[in-house]
Amino acid sequence: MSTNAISSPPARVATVAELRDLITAHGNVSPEYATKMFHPVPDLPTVKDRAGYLVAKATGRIVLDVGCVGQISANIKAVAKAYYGIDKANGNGWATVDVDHAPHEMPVYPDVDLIIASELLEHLANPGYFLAMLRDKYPGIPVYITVPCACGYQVRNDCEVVNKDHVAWYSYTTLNTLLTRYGYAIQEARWYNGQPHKAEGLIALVK
Amino acid sequence: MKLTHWMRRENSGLAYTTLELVEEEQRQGHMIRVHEPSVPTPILDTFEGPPDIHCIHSQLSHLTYHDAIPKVMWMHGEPLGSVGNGISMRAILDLAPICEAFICMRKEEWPVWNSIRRTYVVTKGIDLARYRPLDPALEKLPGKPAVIYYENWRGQRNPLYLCLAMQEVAKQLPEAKLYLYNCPGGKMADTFQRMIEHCRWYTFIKALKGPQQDVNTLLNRGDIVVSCLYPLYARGIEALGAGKAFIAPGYKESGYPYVCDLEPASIGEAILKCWNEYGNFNFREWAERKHDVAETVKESVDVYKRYL
Repeated sequence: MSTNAISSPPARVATVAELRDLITAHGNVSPEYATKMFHPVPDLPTVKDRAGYLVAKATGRIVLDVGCVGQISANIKAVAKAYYGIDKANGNGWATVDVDHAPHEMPVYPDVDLIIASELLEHLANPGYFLAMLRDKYPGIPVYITVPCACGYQVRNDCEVVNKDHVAWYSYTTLNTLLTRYGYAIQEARWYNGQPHKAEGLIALVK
Repeated sequence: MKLTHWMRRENSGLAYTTLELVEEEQRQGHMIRVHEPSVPTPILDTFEGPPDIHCIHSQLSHLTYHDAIPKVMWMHGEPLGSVGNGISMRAILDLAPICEAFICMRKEEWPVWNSIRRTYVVTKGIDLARYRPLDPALEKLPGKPAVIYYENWRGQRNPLYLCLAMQEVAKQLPEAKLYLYNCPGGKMADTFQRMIEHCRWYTFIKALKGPQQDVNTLLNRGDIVVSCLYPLYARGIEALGAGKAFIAPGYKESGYPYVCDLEPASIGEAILKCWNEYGNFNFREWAERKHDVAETVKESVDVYKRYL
């Protein structure tokens, strides 16, 4: 005699096979709950090194790098055929734009054939606004987006381990939902630095 | 006969076993109804009016307690576990006075259940049309042998001893691989992932995954299915239906050549013996002789007839 509790609404099926499918698909929860809350994640490959992966993808391309301050951006610039940068920080060699609050001010570089927005979305309070503007200004251009993954959430000594400038955690599903709402579709995705569902982050090629 | 089965809609071996019984009863010409105890209308219904008998698998609506229709309770769980979980055995004792009889599927359990209510033992059968060798054969999982674990993981019901057994097996059979399926995720998955990494079991453990939609397909891709259950063996006998070897500490059927005890060395020895002799024993034929749900239904209907 089982002791598993069930939270399922009344349901009616015509055959034993249908009943079996119902049980197999949803386990101990109602179909309504399962539809709302259970979202399959593709069997994604893993890359160890996000930086190395992005640099390899940028090699020989005309790159727009959004959020371009840091060593990875320097490495991307070194291998790109041509390179444009955008960052909210002032500096030489890139356009200064606050893509969180004023993404409409992003410049348009007509020859760009690859956009990289690495570890950017989690800093933005208005990621949808940024994505909408990016797609408006660079329609059809593939974008590599990387984010720390919610599955990397850690607590040490009662402290959450998270960059103090971040305002969100993304999972595969929440990232996919955000991108879809703003007209992008994931073409391919990877975990980086860790096992599936345990990795530090996600890399998505979107278009 | 008109048979009402009382079961909860849950992802468990109990539910799958019950559905296979129901399906086979239909094949044998009986009319069936499946009812959840807490829901007023049946989930599945093929007849009008009251049933000839109530078959209880997990609880029973209180509205039927005193309806003068015979009641037989199926004992799916293992007695020690039923006491151990603090609920099941008490629920069984609550229902026992209104039941005509119990049915269990392992003769070793009979003395326990029979001490509570008159108990009949029937064949522990599976649907051999569902669990069968696929033709053409599927591409096999890598590994010689490819060992599969796909138990419903719960607390102490986990593959720890099998992992240790495979560590020893891999010393003699470097190409042996273990595939862990049905992992529930959460802390259990974390624990095993950490053990795999810490103990360097990744050399032979090739998968730590959740449920597979089509169990028969999975079984057909392996060589040996191992369960760590004791003293019962639950749904692992589906492997035999698929023509694959099945090894479990709780499976000690007379005449079955690959038995073991619940300790890693014994499980490992059984795997090695089984692989060394692979091809000599016809597992499908064994399943047809020992675990056909058609026999289960015939035997249980004979029990029901005693109380009409």
